[in-house]
Parts: sequence; structure tokens; C-alpha cells
Amino acid sequence: MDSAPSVVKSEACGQVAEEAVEVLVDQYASTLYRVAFSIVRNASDAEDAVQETFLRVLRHKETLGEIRDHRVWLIRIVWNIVLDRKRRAKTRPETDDVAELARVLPSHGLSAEQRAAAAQHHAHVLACVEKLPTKEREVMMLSAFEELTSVEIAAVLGITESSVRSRLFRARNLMAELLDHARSLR
Amino acid sequence: MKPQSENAAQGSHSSMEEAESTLRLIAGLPAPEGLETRVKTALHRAPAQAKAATLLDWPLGARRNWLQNTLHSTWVRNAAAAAIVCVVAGGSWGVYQHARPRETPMALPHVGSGFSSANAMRTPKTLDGPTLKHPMLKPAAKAAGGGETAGMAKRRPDIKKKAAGKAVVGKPAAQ
Repeated sequence: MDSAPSVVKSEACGQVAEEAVEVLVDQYASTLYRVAFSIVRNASDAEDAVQETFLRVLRHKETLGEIRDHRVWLIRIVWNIVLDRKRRAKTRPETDDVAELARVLPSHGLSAEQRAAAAQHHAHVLACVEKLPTKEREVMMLSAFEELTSVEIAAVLGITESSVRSRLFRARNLMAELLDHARSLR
Repeated sequence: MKPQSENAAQGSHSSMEEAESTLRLIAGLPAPEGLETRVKTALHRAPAQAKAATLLDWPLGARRNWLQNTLHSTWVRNAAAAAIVCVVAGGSWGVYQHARPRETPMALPHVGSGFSSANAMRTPKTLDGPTLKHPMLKPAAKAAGGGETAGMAKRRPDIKKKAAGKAVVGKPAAQ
């Protein structure tokens, strides 16, 4: 058969690509998980998003060689996936966030009450973050990842670096106003 | 003692720091153990359709194994190419048959003397002159015709006199 060598060649290429994807999984799965969790704030949803990211990578494995920065590229994919999922999903109540944060956040040397109070405080801060305009919120959440520079944040969001800086400045001001307002109401 | 605005600024600064620390805390949460293994397993378990970016998968996707070799054979490709050529040629032949040929152009005899203005008259545009507010009167002509009104005679007594004079002069002639 004349098609046999091409089939073997394509299978070999597919094998190589799958191995390359596995290397990417080892390197970046945890980073992608953290990015996904910061948006969806649910462990299983974040893990699903990571799996879907690598499935998409596998679907477009022939373009792997053309990518300059795999880390930023993968973060961009997972970012789009989680935003899309969040858009589709209904808004979750804040109590869900509190329960999930109390379960997930580190609690060394804290009593149960302190842990609950800390989780409530973090959930309140996150609720304030949710009130920010979308553009400012996205930049603020990505800036929390210390391994991401402003250039990389700009690449993930598809904007310029100066836009990242100005959005971050606006986000911080708005956030301070929101927190002060919430504090004065208490 | 610090002024109130300074206190407020410090308060907002500290709350902002707390917010950023919360975001950093969440961003720095460790991934669950065995995540990489689970992702790899999911990738291996994923069906071939999910791994390959294919368009128009249905209905061939269901019979992929059966059709795979058939579709890659040369004669199937040639048959498909021939079918496409037949469809295109048949379609164009049908279009050619149904299309009406254009009517042949016919030369008509030209009636007339060649150049003509088609009886058009040129009316030059005149300048707008001053307009009179009251219509100009022609007292002599109107008085002779006997068409002057009493009101007019009142306004113009000289006309009245002239008309009376004419009537007096005319009387003996009538007799």
C-alpha cells in the first residue's frame, strides 16, 4: 500500500507531539491550575479547565513549534477557558466562596473561628474585586501572580504594557474606594 | 496628632495591601497533588476525535476505522475528482442552454434633418425690476369708458371735472 509510510510518519509525529505536550503538563500544570482557581475559585472546575487547556494544545499540536513562549501561551488559553466558563455559569453566592476558601486556604496555628473569620475576610475582598470593571479586574487578578511580569500580562490579555499599568493604577484606586466604603458601612 | 485625611489615606493604603495579600494568597495556592498525572491520564483517555482538530467529522467519524483505508486509496480520490468535474461541467452546460442569446442590434433609419432643436425656444432670463406697490392708473382712458367709480372721483376731483366737461360738450351733439 502506498499510504502506509505516510500513516507511520503521521503516527510518529503524533507520538512526538504527545510527548511534547506531556512535558508541558509537567512544567506548567500547577501554574495553569492556580490561574484557573483564581478565577473560578473551585478546585474541580480549575482542574477541568487545566485538562481542557491541554486537550486544546493536543488538538493544535502542529503549531507547538511556532510558539515562542509556551508559558504565556498556555496561560492565555486557560484564561480564555475559565472566563468563558464563568460567563456561562450562573453567579455563585458568596457563601460558596467562603466555604471553599476556608477549605483551601492555609490554616497553620489558627483556631476554627479564626480560620472562618479569615475565610470571610478573603471572601469579602474577592467580592469587592468582583465589583471592579472587567478590564481592571482582569489586570488586578493577573498581577497577583508574582511570576508574571507586566509584559507577560499584556501578552495574555492582548493589550499594551502601558495599558496594563494604567488599568492596574485605576484598579487599585477603585479597590481602595470599595474597601473603604465597605468598612464605613460596618 | 495626625490629620484626618492622612489617617484616611493610611487606612485605604492598608486595606489595599490586605486586598493584594488576599489575591496573592489565592494566586499562590499549591496545586492539588497528582494533578499532572490526572491530566496526562485524561489526555490518554481522550478519544481520537477530541485530539484531532477535524472539520466535518460527522458522519465519517462513526465509521472511521472502516472508511479510513478506503478514503485514502487512489481510485476513490480519482472518482471523487471525476464526479466534481462532471457536476461543474453539467452545471455550466445547463446554464449555457438556458441563457438566451442577446438580440442582434438593428440599425434604424434616422428621421429628420439632422440637427434640430426640437422646437425649443430660448427665453432669456430677465432681471427683476422694481415692483410697484399700487397699480398704475390710466385716468383718461378709464374716464372715457365710463368705468370710473364714485370713490375714485372723490379721491381725484380733477378727473371728475374733466368728465363732467366732456359730458356737457357732448350734449348738444347728441341733440
